[in-house]
Amino acid sequence: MKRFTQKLGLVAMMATAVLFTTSCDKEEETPVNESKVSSNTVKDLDASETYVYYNLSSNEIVPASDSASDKWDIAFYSTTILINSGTSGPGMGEAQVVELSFDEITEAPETGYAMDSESGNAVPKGSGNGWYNYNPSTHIVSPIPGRTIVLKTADGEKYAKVEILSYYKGAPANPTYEENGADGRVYTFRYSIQENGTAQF
Amino acid sequence: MQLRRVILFIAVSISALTAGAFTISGTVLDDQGAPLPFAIVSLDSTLGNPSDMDGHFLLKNVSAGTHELHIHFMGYEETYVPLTVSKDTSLTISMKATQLSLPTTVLSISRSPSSIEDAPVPITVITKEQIERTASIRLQDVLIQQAGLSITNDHGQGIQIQGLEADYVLILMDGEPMVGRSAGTLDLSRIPLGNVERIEILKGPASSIYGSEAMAGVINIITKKGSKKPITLSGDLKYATNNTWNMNVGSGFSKGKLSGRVDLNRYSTDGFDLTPNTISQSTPAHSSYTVAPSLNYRISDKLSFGVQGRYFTEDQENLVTFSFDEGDEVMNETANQTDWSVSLILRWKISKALRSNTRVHYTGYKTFTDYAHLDDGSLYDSSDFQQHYARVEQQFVAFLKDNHKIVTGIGVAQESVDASRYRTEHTFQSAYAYGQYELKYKGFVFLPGARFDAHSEYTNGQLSPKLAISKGLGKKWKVKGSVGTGFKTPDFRQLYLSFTNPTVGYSVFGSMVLDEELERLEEQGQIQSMLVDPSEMEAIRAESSLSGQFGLSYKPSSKLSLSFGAFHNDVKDMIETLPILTKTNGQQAFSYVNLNKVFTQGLDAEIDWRPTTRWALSLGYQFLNTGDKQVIEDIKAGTIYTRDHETLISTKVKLENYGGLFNRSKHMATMRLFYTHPKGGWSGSLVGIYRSRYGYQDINGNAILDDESEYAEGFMLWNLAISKKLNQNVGLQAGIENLFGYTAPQYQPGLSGRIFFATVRLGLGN
Repeated sequence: MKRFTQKLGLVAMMATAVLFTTSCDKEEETPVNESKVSSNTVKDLDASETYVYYNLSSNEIVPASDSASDKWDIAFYSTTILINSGTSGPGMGEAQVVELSFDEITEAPETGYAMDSESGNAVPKGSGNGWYNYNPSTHIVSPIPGRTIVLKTADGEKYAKVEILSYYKGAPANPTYEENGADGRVYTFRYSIQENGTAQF
Repeated sequence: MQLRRVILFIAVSISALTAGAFTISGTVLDDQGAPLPFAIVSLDSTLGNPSDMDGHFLLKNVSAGTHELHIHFMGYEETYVPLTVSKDTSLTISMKATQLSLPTTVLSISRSPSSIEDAPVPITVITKEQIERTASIRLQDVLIQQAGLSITNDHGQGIQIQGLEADYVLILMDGEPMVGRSAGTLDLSRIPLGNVERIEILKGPASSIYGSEAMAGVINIITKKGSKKPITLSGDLKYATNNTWNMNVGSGFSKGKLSGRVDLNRYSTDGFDLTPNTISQSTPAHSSYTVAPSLNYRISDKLSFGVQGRYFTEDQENLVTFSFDEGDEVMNETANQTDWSVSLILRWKISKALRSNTRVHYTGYKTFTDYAHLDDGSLYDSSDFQQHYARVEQQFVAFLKDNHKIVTGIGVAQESVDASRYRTEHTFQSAYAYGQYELKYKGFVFLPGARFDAHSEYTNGQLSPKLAISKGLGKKWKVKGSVGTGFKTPDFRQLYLSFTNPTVGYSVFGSMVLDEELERLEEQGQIQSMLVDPSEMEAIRAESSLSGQFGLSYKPSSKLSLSFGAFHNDVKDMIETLPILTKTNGQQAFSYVNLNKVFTQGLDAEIDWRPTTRWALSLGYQFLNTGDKQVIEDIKAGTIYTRDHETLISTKVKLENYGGLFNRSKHMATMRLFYTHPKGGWSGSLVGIYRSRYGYQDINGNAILDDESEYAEGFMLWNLAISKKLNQNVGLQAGIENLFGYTAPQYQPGLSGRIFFATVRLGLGN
């Protein structure tokens, strides 16, 4: 038994050493343009009454009075998601829905972005087209797993990736029409934003 | 004249003098030596007396000379005993049980009588005895007792065969199609069983003889006809939980060349509610009447004429909650569905080897649903649907030497539909021809056949070939296999629907009216953006399938039979809704396109065992595996994800987690146990029905079945019925359906809890 504990201690020490070494390596490899990815999860954002505008850099709701400014990056109301651009706002934002999981996107795509316009939003509306599936028999809206919104912020300078996690309050595992009503409209989402202006997440 | 009467009187007197001298007494026993009560004993075809509780009978006033005794008992072979009487006679008669009491011929395989023994395709027959013993009153009650058939609830109760949905099952009444489907389902509860002689279930595609819809299989309901006696009258009355009443009255007659029958059914129930916290009842109160008359006239030995009809009407009432911006409002829902049909058939034996059948069939269906405000009863919304179908068919059946048979037919049909959700009435015509050749050679039965369907709405005709082969291996084994195609034309809804949801605002358009509806939306400035280029959309095609069926049966004795089967159905061009455009109100407009490719495959097994005449046991099992081919490709390509309930993190779906199509159980099993007590007229039936878990709905947003939470639990149902025959004319039955009261409001809204029932049966002159 004693010998076993000694062995265990040795293994633990070795493991710690390896960990330290690898983390040190990482720091050394950091490019001149220092990566500043901040990741957040926003819980129960109530978008049931009107558009809710959000600034991803400050991780804050922007008052609706500032909707005509570039203070917001993304807005939510019902199942509609706006990007601050074109018909939705004065910003230089752009977005696309990428069919990869949040974690798989380590670099924002170079092309494929669109602005909100008369012919449609950058994040398309409709069941199966954009970020959600609507089940007509249960009236439940489910975010499609493996769909990630990649966007440029309102100033057109930073990349962010956004994944909608739930459309119902408290992000229940199995939302039902009876308990949540037809509306839901309460967003839980997570995002990462690269503050250094590169496309790396 | 006077003289003749006198002679007659003398003749009668003489016979009266000589007759009456003797008696015939005896006992009727089954082949195990147990007495058979209430067996009908007739002398020289005059209706006699039934045997008593101990199987004894006594015939008095029998004249000397040769006579013939006839003993009849249901489930036993007709027995004739010739005897010469010169003194009081006593005898014991042993009855032989008819094996498995199955009919020897079926009508569904070739639209003409063919031997069930030789059938190279999977066919199952449900007899009226099984219907009676299990106290079944509507079609779904008895179909659910068959392994591999599962009842679905989508705008009525439908039937799934070999994992293919109710849309793909053709429902026939005496070989003629029924119409009136809601969302693809022909509601089985429209069909009462009181006048049903037997039900033939053909599994696998039968489009080679029946055309469209017969992709998964065919359910052919054979009704009772005419009468062999001058007049018969029978009826039964059933009362069950939920204040459910079911009454059947049937009467048949036969007079010279004319015979006929009429059946009435009245059904009513208060329905039941599994979700008391909602306003609507799970199954609302409804009541229905069915009338089914038929007449047959034998013009000559070669020519006979038959006419039959049916009228069914059902009323239903419920409360429904509507959600408006101002709040919820409860409204009264009133609905009615009615169907009717008339069929004529002229049968002509042209020669010994050639028969002609000329059939004319017309059927119609209509339904309406009204929603009215509770306070003043004023109408809020009303919708209706009406469908008519008429066809004429000429069929020839030729018998060649060595039991070869050729069946050919040609027909034309016209169908029309008018509904509040269609802009105008739509009519289409179709024409078809089919041929089937049954060839018997050295223990083989070859059954090649094909049918060609032409349709006024489609440029392409549909050819449906099929080949079935069976081969007996010794006397006990038989092997059979078939390969065939099935198809289903797009229905009216998929072609002509023009519907905009009044509260939400989305639209659905049939593919034939899409162009004009787009123009209309364009003019009204309702189109925000197109999601699909309409010019690139292909014209809608029929859904079609290729299927293989294999079977092996083993019958070591008359008491035991085993069968084993395997099947594979490959369906392509399945019609799905696709979003076409986004409207300015933010909602979408959908249309129908050929999209999916799915498969269903599985194994099935059945055992029938009658160890003694008292016991009969049937066990059935089906293993089913289904899937959407595109989904499988996508999973392999790693483009479908799932989300973890706890962490909300998305990961790729693994192929082993794909559960196939929704609402399919991997395992299904049934058990039917019948017991007939030798004394006292007692019998009993116990039926068990098992379904393993099945996909219910997508929860994690990827639209496929891949997560544990997306399944509904499996379940088991037990039905028990005890019958007692009081005498030849009166029988009683009582029992419990859903013995353990299983309910699942969310998944099986049509399944009530425990139901107690009692039935009285009367039969006169049967």
